[in-house]
Amino acid sequence: MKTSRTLMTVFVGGALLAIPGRAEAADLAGFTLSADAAPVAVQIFEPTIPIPAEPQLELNLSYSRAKLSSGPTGRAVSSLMWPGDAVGYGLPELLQNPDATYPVKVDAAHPGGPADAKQEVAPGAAMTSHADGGSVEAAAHGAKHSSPALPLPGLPISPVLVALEGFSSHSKTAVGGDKATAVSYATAGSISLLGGLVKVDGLRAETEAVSDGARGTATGTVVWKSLTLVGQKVALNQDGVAGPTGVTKLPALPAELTTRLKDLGLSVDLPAVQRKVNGTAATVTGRGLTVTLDTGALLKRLGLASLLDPVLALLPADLRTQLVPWLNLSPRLVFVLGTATGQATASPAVAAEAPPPAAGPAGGGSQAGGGDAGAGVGGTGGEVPPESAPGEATTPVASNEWPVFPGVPWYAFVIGLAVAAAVSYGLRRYVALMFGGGGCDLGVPNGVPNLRER
Amino acid sequence: MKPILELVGVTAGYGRIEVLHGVDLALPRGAVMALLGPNGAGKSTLLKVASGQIRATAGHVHVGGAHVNGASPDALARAGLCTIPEGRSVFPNLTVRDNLRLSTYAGARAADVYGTAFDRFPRLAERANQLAGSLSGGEQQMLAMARALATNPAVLLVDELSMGLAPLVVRELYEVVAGLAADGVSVLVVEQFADAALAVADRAAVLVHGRVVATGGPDEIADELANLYLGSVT
Repeated sequence: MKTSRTLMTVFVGGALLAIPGRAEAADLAGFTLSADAAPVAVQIFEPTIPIPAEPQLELNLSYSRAKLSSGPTGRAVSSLMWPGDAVGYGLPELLQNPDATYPVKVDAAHPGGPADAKQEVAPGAAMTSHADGGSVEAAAHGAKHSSPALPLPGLPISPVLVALEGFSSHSKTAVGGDKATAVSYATAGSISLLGGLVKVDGLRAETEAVSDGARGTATGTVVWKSLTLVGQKVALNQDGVAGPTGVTKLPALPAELTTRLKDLGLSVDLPAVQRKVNGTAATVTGRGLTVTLDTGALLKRLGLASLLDPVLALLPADLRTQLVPWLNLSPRLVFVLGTATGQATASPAVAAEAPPPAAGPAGGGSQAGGGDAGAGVGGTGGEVPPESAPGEATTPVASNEWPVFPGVPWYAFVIGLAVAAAVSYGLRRYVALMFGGGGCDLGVPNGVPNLRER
Repeated sequence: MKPILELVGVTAGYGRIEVLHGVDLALPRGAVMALLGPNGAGKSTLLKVASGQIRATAGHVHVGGAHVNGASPDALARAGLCTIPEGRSVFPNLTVRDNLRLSTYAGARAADVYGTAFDRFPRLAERANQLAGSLSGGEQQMLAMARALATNPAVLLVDELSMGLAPLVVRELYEVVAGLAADGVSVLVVEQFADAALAVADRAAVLVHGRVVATGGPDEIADELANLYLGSVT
């Protein structure tokens, strides 16, 4: 029995000793982290639209963003339909109504609060945000969506531009003792774009940017389970086609097809992950398939101007003047299927150096005198301790030693305290002497006697 | 000889409600005094004043020949004034032995506490490992008394010793009280039911509406009790 106990002790002790200790990591002095993601982003570039932002309009479905920087200060926002900061936060200015707020969003902030917020629009469709001093997190999950349902005038495509199901995004920034991390991902089970012209199943874009104060690292992937493009189906990721025999480089679109699409104002950019590491800063952007539709080129190709000009000529001049700018709108629409970004930069903690020594008074003589340190009659703070080298005067700290109240006020203060303590202590004891009754006008002394002494 | 507990013109109450209106009472050393009175007369309030739990708003509280107005309950308890409150206040989820062991925090040795308790109350020895909550009312009262005796009191204040107990058990408990007095402990017993208390008391007082209306020997008080409780019929 004793032997088995000894063996067990040796085993457990050895195991504990064998476990390597956690490496001591240097704390971070400063950091800036940012992560955002959305499975679908639609951006509209039209300078005529009076919104001071670029793009002028945007709509991110199932959007999440988390920012954290030293202080620490952090902000998280999640939205199932995020119109961009210009509208999402600038609605009061845009509408000239201070009470206007964009309703489909959930904010969390640190240190101002709220630390946690959640809004569930429908079962399975929820937005959550969290922010504290160590981590900021945002997530938006939606089960099914199709948008917009309104037909766009002049475009020969289905009214349903985007339809998706089972989509979500998640962004998180966190800082520990030794590193700062920004992680984000966007995923969607099924996405149908432009009325089914482009269909993607199993989208997932994810990024991670890390900085430990010494160097930054960035990783990211964009993966499709399958992609159906104009009826043709392939499975791919950002590096190419993934098949049973391995990953092969993604075939380029036929040049003739590309040219024809470009003539119609339509261009398709293949998925890509861009990583950038510069010292301690790391940035990674994963963008899925990007489809750009330049309606200016499309309208020009369709030759609508030749049809509209005769009609416009029939209108009154004032009305025509008001209508023409609107008819000349030619926005550029950009659809991004799966976008996730992460940025991280941090700087290591720096050991605080002692403040430079205070210069001694001119008349101190302790420094100018060379080897006669301490011989001077310097004022406060000018004296040099005996063990100090010449020129290394110490700076007195107010809380470093007992306060000094020299002179009569100091002694009056101390004596007053002593008298007050003595009076308070003896008041009850000597009250009988002073008032003749000992607190009891029957002449009974005060105090609690030991009743057991009988 | 000065009484070990003396109240002179004591006035006390709860906030703006005055319960005791100039009470005079003296407990001789080594005596058992029964403080009788109807419900609501102020008997328990008087015990609280005597034990320092309530401060007298006027008058004098003298203990052991000293003026103790304003003395804290713990100071009086350390001096040897012990209170057994109404309702016994034992710990129902602890065993008898553990309840007694709590008394050792006052400094007594556990063996001494057990010895004293089990000598006085042999029934507690039989139930030493039983939960206090499962004891009968009389046994719980015995436990409360045993716990008080562990402090080696010089003055014992007992509130409603007989409440809820069978007459046989009450008689047994009062025999213990008489034994304590024989050992030199001064006992002030607050009671609504006079017979059992008067049987062992050396002195008795009747408190009605916050005033002591009679003081005297037990026989003397027993004869006048009905009139004192209900008011004299003239």
